[in-house]
Amino acid sequence: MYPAVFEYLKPSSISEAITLLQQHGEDAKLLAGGQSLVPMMKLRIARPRYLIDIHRISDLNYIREQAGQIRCGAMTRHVQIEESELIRDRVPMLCEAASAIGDAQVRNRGTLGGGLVEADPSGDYGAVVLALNAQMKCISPRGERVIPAADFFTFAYTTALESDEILTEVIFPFPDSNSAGVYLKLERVAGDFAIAGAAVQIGLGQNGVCSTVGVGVTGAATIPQKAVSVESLLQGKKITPQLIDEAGRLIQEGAEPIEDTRGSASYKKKALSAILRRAIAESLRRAEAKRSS
Amino acid sequence: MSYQIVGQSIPRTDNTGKVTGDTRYTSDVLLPGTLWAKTLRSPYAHAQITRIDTSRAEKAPGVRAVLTGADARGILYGRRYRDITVLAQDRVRFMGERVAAVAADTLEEAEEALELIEVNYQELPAVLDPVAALQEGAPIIHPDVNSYPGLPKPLESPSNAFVRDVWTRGDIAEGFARSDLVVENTFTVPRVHQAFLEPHCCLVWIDDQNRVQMWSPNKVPHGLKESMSAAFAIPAERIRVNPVAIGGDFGGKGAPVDEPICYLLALRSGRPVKMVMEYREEFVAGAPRHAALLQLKTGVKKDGTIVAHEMDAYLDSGAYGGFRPGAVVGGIAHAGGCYRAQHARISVSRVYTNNIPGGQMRAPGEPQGFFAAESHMDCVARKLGMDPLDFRLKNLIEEGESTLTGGHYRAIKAKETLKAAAKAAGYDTPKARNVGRGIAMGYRGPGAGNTSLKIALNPDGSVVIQTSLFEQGTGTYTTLRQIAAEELPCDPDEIQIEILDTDAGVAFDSGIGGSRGTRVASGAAFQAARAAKEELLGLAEKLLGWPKTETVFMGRDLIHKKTRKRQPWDDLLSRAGRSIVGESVNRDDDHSPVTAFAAQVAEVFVDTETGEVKLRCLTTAHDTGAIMNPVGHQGQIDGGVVQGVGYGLIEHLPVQEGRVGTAHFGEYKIPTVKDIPELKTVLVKGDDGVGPYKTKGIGENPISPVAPAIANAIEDAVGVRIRDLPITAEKIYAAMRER
Ligand SMILES: Cc1cc2nc3c(=O)[nH]c(=O)nc-3n(C[C@H](O)[C@H](O)[C@H](O)COP(=O)(O)OP(=O)(O)OC[C@H]3O[C@@H](n4cnc5c(N)ncnc54)[C@H](O)[C@@H]3O)c2cc1C
Repeated sequence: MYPAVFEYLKPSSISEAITLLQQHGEDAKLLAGGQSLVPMMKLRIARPRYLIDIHRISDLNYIREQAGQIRCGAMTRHVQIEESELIRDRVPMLCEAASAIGDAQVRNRGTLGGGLVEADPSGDYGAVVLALNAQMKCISPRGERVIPAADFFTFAYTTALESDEILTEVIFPFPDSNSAGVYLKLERVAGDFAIAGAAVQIGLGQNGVCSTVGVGVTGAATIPQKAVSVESLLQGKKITPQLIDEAGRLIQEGAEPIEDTRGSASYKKKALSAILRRAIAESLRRAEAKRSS
Repeated sequence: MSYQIVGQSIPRTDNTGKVTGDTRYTSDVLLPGTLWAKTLRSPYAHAQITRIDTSRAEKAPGVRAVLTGADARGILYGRRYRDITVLAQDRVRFMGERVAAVAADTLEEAEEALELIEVNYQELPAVLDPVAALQEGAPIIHPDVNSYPGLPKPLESPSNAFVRDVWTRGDIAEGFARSDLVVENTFTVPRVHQAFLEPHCCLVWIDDQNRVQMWSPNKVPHGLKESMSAAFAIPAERIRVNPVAIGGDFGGKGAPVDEPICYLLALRSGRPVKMVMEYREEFVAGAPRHAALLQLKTGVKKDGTIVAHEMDAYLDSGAYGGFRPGAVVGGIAHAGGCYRAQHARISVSRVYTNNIPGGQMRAPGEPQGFFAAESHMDCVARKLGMDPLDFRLKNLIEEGESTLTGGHYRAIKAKETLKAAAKAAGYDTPKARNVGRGIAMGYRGPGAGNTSLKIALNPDGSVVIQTSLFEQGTGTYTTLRQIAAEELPCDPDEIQIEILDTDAGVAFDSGIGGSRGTRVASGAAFQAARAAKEELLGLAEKLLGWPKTETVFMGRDLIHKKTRKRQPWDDLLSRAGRSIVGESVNRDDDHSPVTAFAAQVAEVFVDTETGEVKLRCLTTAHDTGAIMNPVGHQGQIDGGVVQGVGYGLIEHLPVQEGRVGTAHFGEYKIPTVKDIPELKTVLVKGDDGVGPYKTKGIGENPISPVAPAIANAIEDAVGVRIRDLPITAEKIYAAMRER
């Protein structure tokens, strides 16, 4: 099917886009890379009367280092994240997540902001922003606000954004220099959405105990989860194989995955446990390698 | 025999246009005043239509015609077996069946109008799998089955099993009684879609002379013409199928699909009518590969000799059977065995259900049959404590023996092919933990058929092959050019292809399919080239006084051998004031006297924590005749193997309660390059084959053994047997926990 009839609007600034959102309210949708929105429109699950294309807004696509943070414009494409030296250097798990998304065509068009706002329960970025305690900068007619990643996802395909609000930037604080991270994903076939995914950042103190930890998982529930229970389990302890198994058990117990073509709920729990255990072991290995180099 | 051009990897002639966009596909064809058509589809698997009201749709803007079942009474269509209604006749038999159709000025208007059609249904009990459909008291989906044209054998009483073929040898009961060990298994395989890029589409126009002009990506244009003629009782000469490129086929583009409804809409509106299926519609109503259930039972002696072998295959045909060329699915039966058994019984049933109708896909029936048969062979070997390789080598048929379904072939190379695969794959070399290797076999002979072909040498110096084949993506035109270039001889790049539409007055052409192109069309091109050359030499004798035996054809010239004199042949034709046309009607209808074997070895690693399978390497060995174009040949092998990997590990059209659960390629996954490991090919070359160059088919064999080779490798790696495709991580995980 073809999308229902809509009007195409093309603001050239954020404020213009906001005015349009304000004008058209629920009838309008922002168009980023169109990778989720356009297929939904073709299936007529989404039927916006106005499509506000934010491509032309030049100050939404950048990757910058600033005051101990990496700041990415919401319109940054997956491929730019995948190929950014800065990101590879500072937060490699973000590169790993970006390169695990879809296929090259999707990565060329799809955006960081769109991926986060779409809030697909199996999306890859959710776990990463939660593990890294990223912040979402948003602008609305009421001004600017920053939403912590942990408060951003509210339900499947739903976020804390208001209908007249635009996500403009994602802010990733530099992880501790003694830490390392990884994003791992189990998929049915290359480029599919995750059956399960885990993002883990681990810092090691002098004595080899876990000094900082961030864990985000995808596929555990209707929204990506910050695995607080696993974080507090690992924090301040020496990470042993037994502790990793314990983390796997914890995540499995707490998980309530959605059953779909990618697997039954009970399988997804077990797969998530396996992926998380592996991600912990791998980030630990990377952190240790960093320490000894 | 050595050749100059045949056997060379000359590039495909159709590549450039496809890349630049010059190639003209059906959806590129637009006639003045073309209307767009859409159909309303049933939301129920089985229901009585109690009311249809189209009055609002008829008044909607842009609408030119609205049809319902009442406008298509008594019309049945299909490829040869005709059981498909153009629009549901008071009863819908699957979710997605056409109930009403609209033609409007724009696609949007057609879509809007569909939403205005009101239909009331009364649900009927549905039959959703072939086993249930065979149960006594199951609703009979086609009570009138015995009246359908093309039903192979009349049924004693209407039954959902509308085709049932049985092959027997010896006494199966006695065979099992004499066996030391009897092993039984049941396998299930899902529907998979051909996943061609271009969905089904067509344009139908009834022109000023009252002729039915059609554009359709159909690989059997003459068959389409006959199907339309039979369905609507219009004389065949009033129908013309115009040439277009086919945007991917994989077996699925041989049946009439949208053409009948567009014809009726064109008739009603007096305008050309075009329909392009959305991929969503392809998935719910596009005639995918049949799902099937297969039961196997084999009796063996302790030493591994097969004594008795039995297979019962039930194909879920869905609501209609006419999307296949014949009502029978031959391939599944022949997958019953390339092994020797004194006693055998192979039965294949095609069963109506209230699911999406099955159609035709690459190597029809074989991926289903070989998955079951070759998985089962491994199970038997393991029960015996024999290596699956040794067990196969002990039982594979040899020269002089026939297959269990009576296939008799010369120059059988089953064992040689298997050994070549095992050797190249390092089958016997040590393996790491959770790594396994599995073997599977397949076999198939090139298809038969008719084709007509002309080669014209013109006074302007052009060489033109006139063929009624539509290029469907396998490189047929390239092969034809190679043959003409070889036989004349001349430069293949200078040969043009002219596609004859069905008006060209040629006899029935079987079109493309079943690796028939290389066999039948090669024969025709060979004969036509020779005939053209012969006639040209005759002309040279007449006009130049060069005896035929002393004259050779060389590119643009004729050369008199003795005097070394050259004469451009176009001058000669200019003098004669005419073209020369070599013509051949090749009827190569016989069952192939040769078959080609395939043997594959899959090597997998299984992640025991998640059940994930990593295919590490796939080795495929093929017994071949002459290879016309090595690059094209390898392309068929690689493509087939990749499609086989999809069948084995990834693809399925999930159908629950009759509802297809995928709407787009975001959900229906096929392998991408990242899923494909190292592929090794071994060619076991021979000099036997069919046609003038002695070739064997390659289009089908590569796909069939992949899934069972993977299943067998998985059991080798972690000891679990998966009997249901696709083999997902979850199935392996669950099987490992159940042990
Ligand atoms: C074949 C395929 C495979 C995919 N595989 C994966 C995968 O493996 N993993 C994965 O994570 N994702 C996957 N995706 C999704 C992909 O990551 C998309 O980029 C993502 O879903 C969003 O698409 P987009 O950036 O083009 O945004 P759009 O589709 O344009 O927009 C998505 C939604 O976000 C809203 N929106 C966009 N930008 C903003 C903004 N700045 N502020 C407020 N609202 C905004 C839009 O209004 C819309 O509702 C896949 C997509 C496809 C088509």
